[in-house]
Amino acid sequence: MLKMLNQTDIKSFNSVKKEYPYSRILIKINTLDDYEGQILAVSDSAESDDDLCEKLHEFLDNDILCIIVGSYVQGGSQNVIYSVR
Amino acid sequence: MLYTVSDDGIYTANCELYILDKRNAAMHFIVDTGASITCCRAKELGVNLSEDDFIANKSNTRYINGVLKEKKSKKDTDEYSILFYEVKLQKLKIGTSIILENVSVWVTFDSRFYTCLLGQDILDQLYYLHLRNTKELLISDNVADLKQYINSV
Repeated sequence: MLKMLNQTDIKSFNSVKKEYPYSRILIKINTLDDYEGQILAVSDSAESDDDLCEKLHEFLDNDILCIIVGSYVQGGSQNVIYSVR
Repeated sequence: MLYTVSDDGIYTANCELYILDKRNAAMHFIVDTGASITCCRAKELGVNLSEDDFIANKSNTRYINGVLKEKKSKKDTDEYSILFYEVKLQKLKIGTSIILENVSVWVTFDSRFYTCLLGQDILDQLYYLHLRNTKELLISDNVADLKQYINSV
């Protein structure tokens, strides 16, 4: 499910990933060198990832710099494809 | 120019991707020296990207495995393989200070893959240095910056 949060407080990427484990989180940043930002949206499952990507592009098209952090699986059998060789 | 990436156990870099002159996407990449290609979800690069278009255009493909592989199986029939299609970028901006031109990113429509990896294909074009004491990874597109940094510490 995709949740729009539009938070205003600044949080580090690490704290965001701990706050929303097993989720992908859309975060507004000021520059590419930032490692903290404001949470815009959270997708808690793969089923809503396309919606999350749509939101990413909507914000980018409106000149709001944002990126997605996090991942859906942090363990279990599906994690074997986490990195490619 | 020098670009530093702090370690929380994983090294990452924020990047902007340009297929033509316009910025197509911004992504949070994991620096992965063990990944042979730089790759991501297709929808994260562009919501309108369609696998049918890549097939129709006969785009270059790569089958890549993670840790698991089927025994004695070719990559294109291995159930653990992920299929990637090549997208040529006019520009890849790594942080605010490094720009690489005419590089490729590989995208997948496989629903099992949700990571952006900065692989060895891109890393081979850069200089990078790990600092044990500060747990930082310094990335630069020229060796002079790294030398200057080392001389300053």
